[in-house]
Amino acid sequence: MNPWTKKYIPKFTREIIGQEASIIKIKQSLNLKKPFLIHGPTGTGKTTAAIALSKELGLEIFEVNASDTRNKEGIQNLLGSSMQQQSLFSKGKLILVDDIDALSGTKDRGGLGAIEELITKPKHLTFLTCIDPWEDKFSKLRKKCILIEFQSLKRDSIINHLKKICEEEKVNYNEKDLQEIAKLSKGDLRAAINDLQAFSITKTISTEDKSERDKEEDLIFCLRKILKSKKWNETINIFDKTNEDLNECMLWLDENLPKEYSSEDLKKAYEKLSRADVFQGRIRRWQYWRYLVYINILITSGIAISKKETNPETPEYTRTSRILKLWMAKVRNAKKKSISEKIATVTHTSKHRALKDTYPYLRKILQNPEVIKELELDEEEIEWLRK
Amino acid sequence: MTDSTIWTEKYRPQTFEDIKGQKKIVERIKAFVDQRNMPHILLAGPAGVGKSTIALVIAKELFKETWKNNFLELNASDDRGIDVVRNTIKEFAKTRALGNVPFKIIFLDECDSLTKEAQQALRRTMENFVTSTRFVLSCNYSSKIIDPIQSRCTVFRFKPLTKEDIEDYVMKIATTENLNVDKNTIASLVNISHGDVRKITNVLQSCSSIDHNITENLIYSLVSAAEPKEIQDILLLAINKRFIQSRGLLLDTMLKHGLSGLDILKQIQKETMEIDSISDEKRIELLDKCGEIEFRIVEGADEFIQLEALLAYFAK
Repeated sequence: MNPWTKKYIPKFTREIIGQEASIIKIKQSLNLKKPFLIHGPTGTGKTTAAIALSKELGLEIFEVNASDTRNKEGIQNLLGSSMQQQSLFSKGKLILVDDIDALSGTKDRGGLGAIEELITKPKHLTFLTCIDPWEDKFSKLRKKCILIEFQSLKRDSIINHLKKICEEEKVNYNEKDLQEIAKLSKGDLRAAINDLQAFSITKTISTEDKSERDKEEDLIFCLRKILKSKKWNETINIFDKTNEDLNECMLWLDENLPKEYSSEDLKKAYEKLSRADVFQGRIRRWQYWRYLVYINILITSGIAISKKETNPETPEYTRTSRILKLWMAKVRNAKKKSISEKIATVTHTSKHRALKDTYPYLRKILQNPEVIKELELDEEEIEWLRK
Repeated sequence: MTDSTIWTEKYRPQTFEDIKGQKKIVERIKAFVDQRNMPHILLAGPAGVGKSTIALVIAKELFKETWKNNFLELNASDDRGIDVVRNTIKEFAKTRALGNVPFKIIFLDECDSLTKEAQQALRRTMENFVTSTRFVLSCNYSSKIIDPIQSRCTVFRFKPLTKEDIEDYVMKIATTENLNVDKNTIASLVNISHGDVRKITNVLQSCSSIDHNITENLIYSLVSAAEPKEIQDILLLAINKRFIQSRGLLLDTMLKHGLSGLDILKQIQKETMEIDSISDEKRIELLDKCGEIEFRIVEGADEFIQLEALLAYFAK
């Protein structure tokens, strides 16, 4: 099946909808020999415009995108030579560095600097694209480039475009569905076309709520299997079918495990789950992702075979509320923390120790005006102490 | 004495003469200060026996009125990463000392919590800036400080304060604040604090806001009010196979008191020593498990899942 987003991709700049003024601005500035920075939301035609332009101008396109390693050396290797050389058959070149805001901070270290350096004296027409050019890290780049804004598309232009595709593809539609698709796309034409193609097959519009609910049903199905089955083979590959990450699966297991297991079985199952969690911590620490294999084994068949008895009842599985509670407590304890910080400064100790050893004892005394003055407590903190 | 409203500060000794205990250490350090020259210093010992106080006194005696400009105090348990060493410490060490002083002092408190990486970074900094800066490090356990740092420091090991030292100190507060204390009160203060003078002072100040007659009962009621009591209930629920209630209470307790997984674990370990309703065989099995879980949490596992795994062990 050919994706419509590809089939209907504009070949010429005049076919790009909604960006007419910006494209005129590009064409008028071509002779300035400065690089262009096209910015705007996803799916508005930034990359498409650069590619279409290369064809119209008869230039060979050279593209670097987020799939390439874009640290300092990477950029220099990829672009350095092509920026200098003439291309084969001395056709001119158009350089496109796509999604520069996707440069990774750690893995693409120095990449941005290398780009800045290379575009200072461009031999070729150069385009950069990004979503938000106003981030601090782009300040140097902004000065060197001509900024071109691509705006998110108006709902009506999206609907009109979808209609054309429907007619071309001989798809029956009613106005309301197209409106819904356009609304959900939030001005992203690519997303709208994708949704339209899916709609033409399933005849349903997948709103976000719906897919979120589907995901949850998938997950509950897997959980049910793990917590009810005692067989290795029935459970080992169970998570292959879901798209949830294992971390989320572990939270669900943690929440619902005690509803199905008890005593010795519960102890054994928690041994497996807590071992899986140890591996999770090691992945974070060492960035060694193969440990995922062990996490998967432990939390599927590992937990399944931990039980002697299967619970005859069918309890309802629920999402964990722990994360929410943690967040709420954090908000609640923020004042306590900020007061302890002030105590720590005055009494030459750590925040942690002030929170544990001083705050609980001095809560009352902290309300004395002289203490408030010495610690420079603010209104909100004083309010908190009075509660 | 200072005019702070918080007693731990108000009664913090300001000169070498003020310091009650740790006679030998004080003598040797005073000699350094008198000569206006000293090595890097590592102060090791339990909480609340005067490590920070000595560091502050060194600065005050050495620098007099300019001490605040020439003294950088950092708490390693708050800023424990390598960035602190690379930025804050290095920046301070680089600049010249102000006024007529031979060098500046960086006081790095609770060094045990510095990561190994940060300690490695620190060791170079200690060498490179030795002409302009001296380090005073403090820690609870010197074994947690890497050897290269220990070898660059003169190490002073603090002992717990004696009963007499504590008595002197408490009596001084009592006289100034008009409190009634007797031998029994002091004994119970020592008992609940394990000799940690900071804690004793906090408890005293807390008591004084209720009654100037400091009795044993008042002390114990305040201390227990400040410490969470729920741990025992959590364990009993787990033992009686009411796991879901047990872990619910666990989460609530952690959140209510703002306790970390390790704080909770320490208390579970203490309670496990006390519970009557389990056999000693079970007790040792559980305590061993406590240790394993503590190791995992320190290593970076999720504290809640690990504590739940521990609770599941308690079921009879």
